[in-house]
Amino acid sequence: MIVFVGLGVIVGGAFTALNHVLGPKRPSRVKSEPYECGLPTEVTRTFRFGISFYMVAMLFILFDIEVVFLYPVGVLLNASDSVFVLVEIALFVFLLLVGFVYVWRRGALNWR
Amino acid sequence: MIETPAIDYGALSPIIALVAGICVVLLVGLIGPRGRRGLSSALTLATLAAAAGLLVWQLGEPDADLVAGALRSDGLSITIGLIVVAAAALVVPLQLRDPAAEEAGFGETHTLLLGSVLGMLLLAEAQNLISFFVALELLSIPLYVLCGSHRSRSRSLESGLKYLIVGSIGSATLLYGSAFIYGGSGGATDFTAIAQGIGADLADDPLVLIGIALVAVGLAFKVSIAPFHQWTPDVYEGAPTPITAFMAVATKAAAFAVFARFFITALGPSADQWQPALAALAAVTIVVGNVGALGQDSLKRLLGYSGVAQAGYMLTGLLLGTVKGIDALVFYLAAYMLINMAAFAVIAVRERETAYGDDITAVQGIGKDRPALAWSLTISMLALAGLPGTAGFIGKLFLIEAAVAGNYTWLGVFIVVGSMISLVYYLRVVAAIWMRPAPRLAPAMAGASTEAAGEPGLPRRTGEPGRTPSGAPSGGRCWLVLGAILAATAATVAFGIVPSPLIDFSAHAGEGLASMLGPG
Amino acid sequence: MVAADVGFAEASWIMVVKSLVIFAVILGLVPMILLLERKLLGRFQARYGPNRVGPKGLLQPLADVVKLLSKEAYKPDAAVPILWAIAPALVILSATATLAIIPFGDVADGNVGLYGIDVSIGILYAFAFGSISFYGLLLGGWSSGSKYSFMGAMRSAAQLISYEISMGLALLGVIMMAGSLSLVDIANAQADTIWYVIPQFVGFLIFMVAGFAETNRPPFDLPEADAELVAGYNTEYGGMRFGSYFMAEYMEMVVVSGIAAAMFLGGWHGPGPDWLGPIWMLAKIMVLICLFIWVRATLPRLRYDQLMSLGWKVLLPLATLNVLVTAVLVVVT
Repeated sequence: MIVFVGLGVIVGGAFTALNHVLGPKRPSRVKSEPYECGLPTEVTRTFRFGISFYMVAMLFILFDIEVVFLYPVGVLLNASDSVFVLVEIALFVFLLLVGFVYVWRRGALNWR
Repeated sequence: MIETPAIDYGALSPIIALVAGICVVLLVGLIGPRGRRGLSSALTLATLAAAAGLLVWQLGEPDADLVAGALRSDGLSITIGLIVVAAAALVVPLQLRDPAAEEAGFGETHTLLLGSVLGMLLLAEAQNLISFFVALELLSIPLYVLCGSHRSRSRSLESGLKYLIVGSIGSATLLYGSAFIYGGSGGATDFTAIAQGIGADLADDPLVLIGIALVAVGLAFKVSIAPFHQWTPDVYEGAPTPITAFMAVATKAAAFAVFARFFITALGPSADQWQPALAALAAVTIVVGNVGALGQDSLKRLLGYSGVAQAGYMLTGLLLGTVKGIDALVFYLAAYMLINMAAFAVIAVRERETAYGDDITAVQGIGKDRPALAWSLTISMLALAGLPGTAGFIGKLFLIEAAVAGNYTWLGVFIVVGSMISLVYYLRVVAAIWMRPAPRLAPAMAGASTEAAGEPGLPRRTGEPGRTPSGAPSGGRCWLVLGAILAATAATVAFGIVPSPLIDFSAHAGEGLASMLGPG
Repeated sequence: MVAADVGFAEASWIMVVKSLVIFAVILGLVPMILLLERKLLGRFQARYGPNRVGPKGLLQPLADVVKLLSKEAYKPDAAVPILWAIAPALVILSATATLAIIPFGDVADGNVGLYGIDVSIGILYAFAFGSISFYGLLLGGWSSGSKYSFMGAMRSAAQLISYEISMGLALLGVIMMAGSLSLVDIANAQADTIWYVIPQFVGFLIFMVAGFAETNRPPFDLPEADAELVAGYNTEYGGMRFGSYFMAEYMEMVVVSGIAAAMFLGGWHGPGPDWLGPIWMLAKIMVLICLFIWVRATLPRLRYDQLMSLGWKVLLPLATLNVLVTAVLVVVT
């Protein structure tokens, strides 16, 4: 694994740096402006963006935790073969489902 | 292979009932644009009734460790649970005409309320650092949202945000302290295991002491003990009044329950270290709360400071670490619940009827045209001050008695002095009710209250559901609300004259704690 | 050094050699896929595709790389220098690191496992590194200082996290049946019974759809949406940095196909002698990649709200249902 990470760093780094070595260097003012099509460019990194992005991010945390919780139980399910575990999974998913129905009905999943 | 943990479903049943109720109320709230007001409230009350019934049933059952020892159902947790559930049940009718609940939707409001109740029940049962913290967050997070639920009032938003920030700091401090205790006691999260881990050797270990201090600070934030009370008046004033009522009583009850359980059982070995510190805190709290309340014109702020002072009284019962002290604490909490609910309910009603919000002007001269409200508020104020003939008096009596028996006579003296100071501001309210003429400005109809509390800039919202412009069924003249107020007031007086049922009730708490301490 | 529990570990020099071999193979595969895609797309659209550079256009990818390498290293003024340079490298890093868990065979001759590493957390490792690639996109888009890049980055962020949930849930069914997170164990479990694509067909479909979205492939290529966002998060990138994003996308395709092949299509198991295992695995990966290309040629790009509602309102409930049904079946049978 370390080898792969190492390879990733080397290759990634090489790709990033190679152009410095190999490419021509002809800087110009217009070239280094941000891309824009026919309008004067405006540089703002403090965009306001839609509330939907926040909603998605919050819902992601919720449901991703669901998935992560279910993984260990899922691994053991076949071996344990117990109805207790099954009921626990079902209850857990059911509770999340209630929240999911709520979120859906309140329109948080509609992209605005 | 998964080991199935031993689960006592009987003792867990109140929790299960609440969870089921939360799901149902949340889903029912989705029907219709704003949720069904009546149906949602009825279901919430039914849930609370079921939880209360199951709790009463458990009172007769033997104490039990639930879910692999993470929770414990005993006298303390059940009595506190009943107090919390009763407080929530009294809040539900208050919310029927509440602008905040209208705005946020009844399904949401009631779900959050029930969620907070669930957290409180779990907190009272917590017997493990992990379940302790999880329950505390479950209690707090819905309250942060509820405080800010009146979104068209900037005060409410301010209150929600302040509570969130201060509450998070409190939680973080507490968690940090838990980590120290976990480390100091040799890696135990279970309360009894912590007590064993600390033992006699580590009782004044610096690591443990830092942990105790941090946990105490965290809990002090939650129950608003001076000097960690600064948020209390602001948050109480800004939050929608029914929520303030619930928060003032129920949060204190649950937090004091875990405060007692954690300090007396887990940190028992270090009692010599934390007792004097908490005693000092209690004394400071009594003074700060009572002095702070003196100049307040806003009734909610006044009750907020009064709540700080009450927290000081209650802390006295706790820090003694005796069965008697816990009995007195739970008795006081129960009485405080009844008194406070009545007082806040009257404020809520007047807030909706007049244009003065929660200012003391709102209750001026109500003795003539609203005798029921006037008497309720009067009795509540006198009971908070601890006048004989009310449950408040008996509660203070027990606290002082326990303090004297526990060699903290000087704290008993502080309670008496504090009560005397408090008479000044409580009697000021009583005087406003009976001796001042009603304000010249005719009480505005319902609907004016949104722009009342010092926010003339907010445009008046017209056509809000449930508020007819003519104000025909004005918010306060709802029989359910009046019934709740009168019931709470009657109980205050009844337990003041015949306190024995409440004494028996609170005695369960001491028994529960004694049974935990007994074997270990 | 290993960072997690492993099923089987060799001497370190063998590990280095085999890792280099696997990496070389995949790296060699990427230009081939690139050419394959362009050729196939051409045929799908009734044209030839590239056929000028070298015999039948075979040298086209090489020419592309040489072109990209010889470009000027250029940085827009508005960009945050270091972050802007790191971002493409991060994407490459995560794609490369995920390659490690794709198994091309079991332990051969008792001393070499034909995979980078067989970690017990298996698939979670892939998710972990997948999240890092998402940082690469977001960082690249944000640090460019251009609104197109930023919008593209935000979109891809929302898209990636929306589909990651369904992806995880889709794999959960397989994990429940196999009772392990390790890809090697899962592939072996299918040798005895049946390829999981049959009992877990719903899971397979969800995984592939989510896989398209996770790799930003059409029809989910909204972050790049050339027409409105001028290539989204890599608007401001040029030369080999642009090439990095491009290459990472293809490597991620290989990774997703590899995971799907191992978890749903029986991995390296197939008829024939054992030494055919790696060949089978590569063949399955290539078939799935052809599926990627086919879908690109067939389906138009979704609108963003359609994309979100597909992820949240269709795939997520479906995947949850799939998990529940699988759980019941696993316990009952």
